[in-house]
Amino acid sequence: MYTQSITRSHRTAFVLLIDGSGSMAEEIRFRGKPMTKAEAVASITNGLLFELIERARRNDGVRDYYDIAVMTYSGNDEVYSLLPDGRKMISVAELAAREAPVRREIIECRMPDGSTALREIPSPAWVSPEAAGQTPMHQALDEACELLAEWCRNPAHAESFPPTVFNITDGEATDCDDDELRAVARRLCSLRTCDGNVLLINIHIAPGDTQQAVFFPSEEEADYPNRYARLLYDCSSQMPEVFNEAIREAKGPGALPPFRGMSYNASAEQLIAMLNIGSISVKTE
Amino acid sequence: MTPTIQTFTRALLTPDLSFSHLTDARVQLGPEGLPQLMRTTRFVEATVQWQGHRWLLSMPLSPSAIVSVERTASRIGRLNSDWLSSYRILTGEMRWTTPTGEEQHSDLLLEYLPEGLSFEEALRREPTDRLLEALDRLQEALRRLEFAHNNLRPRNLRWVGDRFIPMRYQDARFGHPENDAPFFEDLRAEVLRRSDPMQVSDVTAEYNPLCRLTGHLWTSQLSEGLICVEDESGYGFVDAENRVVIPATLRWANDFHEGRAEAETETGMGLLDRRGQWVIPPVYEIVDYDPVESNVYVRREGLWAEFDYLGRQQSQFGERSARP
Repeated sequence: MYTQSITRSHRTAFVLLIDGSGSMAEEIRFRGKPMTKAEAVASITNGLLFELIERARRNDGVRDYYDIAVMTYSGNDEVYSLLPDGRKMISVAELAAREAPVRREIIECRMPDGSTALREIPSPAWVSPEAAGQTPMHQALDEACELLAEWCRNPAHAESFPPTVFNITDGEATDCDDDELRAVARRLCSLRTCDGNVLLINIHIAPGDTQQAVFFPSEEEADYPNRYARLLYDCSSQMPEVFNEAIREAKGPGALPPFRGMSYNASAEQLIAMLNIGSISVKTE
Repeated sequence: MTPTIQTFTRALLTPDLSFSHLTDARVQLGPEGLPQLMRTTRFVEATVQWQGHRWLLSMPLSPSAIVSVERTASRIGRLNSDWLSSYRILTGEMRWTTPTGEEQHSDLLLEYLPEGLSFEEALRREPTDRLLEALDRLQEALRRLEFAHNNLRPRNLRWVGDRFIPMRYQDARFGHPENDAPFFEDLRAEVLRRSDPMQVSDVTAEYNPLCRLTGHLWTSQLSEGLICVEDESGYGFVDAENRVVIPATLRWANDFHEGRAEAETETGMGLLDRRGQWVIPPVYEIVDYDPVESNVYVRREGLWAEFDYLGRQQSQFGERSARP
């Protein structure tokens, strides 16, 4: 299980669900700088899309190793695609062919003497920050369910590595209660290919950089002091064994599986590491 | 923790802040000002301009990737063959910060990109017979080196002067050079398929043949007054007059740099001085001598330790992550 190589004949899918609700306007510290959660989420999302595209780039161009969906949920219980022309899902090659606006991003480099240097570099931006209205997370997961049920039904995908869903949120759904959220997450994770079930990875953003970051938590690590912690833990997939080595390498030798596919806390840089591990732990050849 | 492609991209755009040695390297950029990257199975690579030459700079995509090329890089370094490009691991070259704020150093792979033509360009400019003969010579040379490239496709060849030089040794292994036979057949077929009426090349590339001495199977170049040679009995060193200085009893030896040369015997690798005395005894799996830093990293049972120029151990053997 979870061992199928991701190739053009066995492509997989990545779905990014982005909380764009009003609460995302709250400020956090991201890469040492104050910014809104929405800006951090956009940066993380663009970084993941960049990573997915570059990992599919070979000498003959970007290969169709996977399909990608990027949906935001916000406003008046709205869930909509952020992809070009509002399409629900496109191949990574199609996404790469659409030129993303290139913005100038200031990055912070820490010097050996402890000082920092700032540099402005170009950075492609497929997604812009959004923060408005409600948090229809249930609806977003439900639409992801629908999208991936169809994807998994496609005979061409029967033997593929199963789709991975990244849900980036501050945790507060406004269109369901906790049990309903757990139920829709279970339904999403029950979808499967021959190679395994859909993976749902919840990235929980919360302000306050003094709190302990949690990263692919084990059972005992999930009891961090946040009212949405246990709920998101319950809604997250248990990471397959094939990921354990990469997760242990990232967390340190003392980390013991099983791990859950989630992260928590304000150190938004942790989120990038989590996303990247999620994307590099699978074989792409 | 393995850095991401995004981390590598940012490092390429800020080399003075991110690299140890390649601080003034300039990466080849695309129209949007972003580095032009290309992924291979286990690495992502970019072309950089550094010290007046072009190089392929590659970042491993997984922890096992760099380990998979260690022996190849080490042995190519010792070979000093004019059929293979310079190919070395830059230990801890890229400095970056993890999401948790910890500073990390990652190894990169640096490969010299010879001036010359791509395979496609060579097909257009060179006569068929010359290309076929060059493929024959390359196959024979790799066979003598016992070098199997294992991915000898057109994009992994450069036409330099009158020969093909293979590039990208990420899949290469020493031993079983016959593995490349199918690739050579495909290359010959491609040359024949594309054969055009002969055109006189108007492009020449600089190529400096190595010093040749008689009576040896192979010779390196004069370095610090000594020339590494291969005889039937093994590797050794002669002076400029072809007089034996260090008998040819070694399994492998590198050129001398700053009075030291890496060498290998049946018992392992060590470090020699110019009199043939072992500064570091030949008992290690890998000995990686840096003449610029005057230090030596040795590997034993998969663990690394640092030695100084005089062969004194400077650090305990540790995990790879502890290797500076």
